[in-house]
Amino acid sequence: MKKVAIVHHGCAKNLIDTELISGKLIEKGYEITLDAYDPDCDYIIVNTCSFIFDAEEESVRSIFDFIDTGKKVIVAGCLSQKHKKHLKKLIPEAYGFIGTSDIDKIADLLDTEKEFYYVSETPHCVYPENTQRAQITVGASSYIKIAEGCNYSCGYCVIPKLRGKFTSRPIENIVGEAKNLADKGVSEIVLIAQDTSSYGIDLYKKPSLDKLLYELDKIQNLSWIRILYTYPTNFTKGLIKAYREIDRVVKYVDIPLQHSHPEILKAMRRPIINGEDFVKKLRDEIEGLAVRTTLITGYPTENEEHFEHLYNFVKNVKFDRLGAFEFSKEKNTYAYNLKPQVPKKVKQKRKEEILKLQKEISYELNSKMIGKKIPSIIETIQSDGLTIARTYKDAPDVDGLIYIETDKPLTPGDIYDVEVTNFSDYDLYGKI
Amino acid sequence: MQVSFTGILKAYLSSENSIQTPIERKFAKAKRVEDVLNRKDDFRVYPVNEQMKMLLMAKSSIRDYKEPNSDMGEEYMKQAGIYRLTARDAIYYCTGSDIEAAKQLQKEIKEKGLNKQERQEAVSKFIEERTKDGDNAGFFILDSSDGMRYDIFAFGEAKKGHTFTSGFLEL
Repeated sequence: MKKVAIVHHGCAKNLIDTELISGKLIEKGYEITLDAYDPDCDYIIVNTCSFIFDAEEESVRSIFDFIDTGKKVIVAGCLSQKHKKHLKKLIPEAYGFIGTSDIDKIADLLDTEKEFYYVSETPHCVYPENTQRAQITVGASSYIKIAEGCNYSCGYCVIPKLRGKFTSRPIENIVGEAKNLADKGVSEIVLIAQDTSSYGIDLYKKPSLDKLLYELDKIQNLSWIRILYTYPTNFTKGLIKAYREIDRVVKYVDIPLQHSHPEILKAMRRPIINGEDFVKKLRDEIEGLAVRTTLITGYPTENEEHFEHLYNFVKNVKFDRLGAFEFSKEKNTYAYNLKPQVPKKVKQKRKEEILKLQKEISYELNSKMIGKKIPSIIETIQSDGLTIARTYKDAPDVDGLIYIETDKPLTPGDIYDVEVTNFSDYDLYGKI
Repeated sequence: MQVSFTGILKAYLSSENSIQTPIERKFAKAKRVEDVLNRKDDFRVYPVNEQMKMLLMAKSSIRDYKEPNSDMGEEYMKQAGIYRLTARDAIYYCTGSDIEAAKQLQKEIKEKGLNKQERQEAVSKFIEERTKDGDNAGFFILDSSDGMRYDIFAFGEAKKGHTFTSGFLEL
């Protein structure tokens, strides 16, 4: 039996691709390891990320590190898709190259025992529905990809070129997968896509995330349904209603707004909305809502006035959770040639200012939690007895944690109302 | 395409089994990474705190495995083609024919008690001399004894076609 090591880079969406690649290989009788330095492995598949420069660099560096091991290295995913044949020329030692929409061919290509290059010229991702994901991270929560690709053309983003047009998975397939995960003991599913709020716009001719949520709500042994990566334009009334009506839908909206100033939003080719009004409306309509956003600092043309607008926006809205990133200049994007570009030092300084402000906001919000009870999902129970959980206001991997002291026997995936006893900048401490 | 100083630092920071990896191979890998990305990462555009972080990490990772009193010892370093030179305020890593010249420079810096500007001038001259034929490799980290401020130089060419840029940072 041939053994394949899988190395993963990038976001949760890419993680699912990594799990699908693993699942495909297991189906065909390959043995999978997550240890790329396993001396017995025959191949190393590096599922790469090319979203921003730093991520791309990390992927490239790891490819060269693995080539040094003397194993057959396969470059999968975004990096192959982005650079296509040029990458093959630059890394001739790599054994294989496979694009983002070709991952379902991976086992067949390895079966040939010949070097390969299989990268579709135009990606059009179709989810390999019949493949069982081999989950790398198994626990209380699991991601489910509900769509792939993106129809927007945000000025900074290379994703449409890497992942193709927005393509939704049918509701019945997503529900089937969710049922399967729930039967395995997963109690929280996290719905992801490049843009979850546009879900169904291709298949059902209108945004249908609400419809999907009502169907998922029928799965009895599922506790939480969390939604990440929404987009302001298709955040419909129906979706807000679903948030309100379905108890299982976690009252948590992740909406990457990227900026607040209309001129920068225009330069970003994003919808020009009043972010403050938008978030206020959501908070007014969905009780107890936690809002997470991500922002970009130093987008080309951003001046002090624009930044001040952004800073005040963050100050006024008081997001429950926030991530800030420096603009990364990516080739083949609109923003690449946009002038003036903002110096790196300025980008970084602005990011730090936003994060410093958010730290203060987070501290203030956490301080108000003392004595309150907040629904939290148990993630892990350490050998020293400390239990690590997440409140409903915290998504996996990106948000904070709540550390719990208790004598009660707990099980990962269980949901309890935890009384908050202490806090730090981003985390909470509590008891049951 | 030349390799940037940042590329080299990152190569140091990320290399697995770095003790077994000769300096030239690290440079070569750094160059290939930058070739694929088709972009040099200019050290000078990083904010000072990032530069400090990177340098301190690189410095500690280099120290970690090449301390003369480590299990591997000075002899191993020589075998690996790496020479580590420490002085009151300087650490210099170099290879091959640079070693003796570096020793001499360090001696001069020490004996003459050069101030910061004089040290920079001396090192600049050294770099110019050592790289004019395009066949030397190394980089220079001078610290100002307080552990916080550095002057940085990268220069030379590890192997033909593996050139990297010289960088100079005054803090």
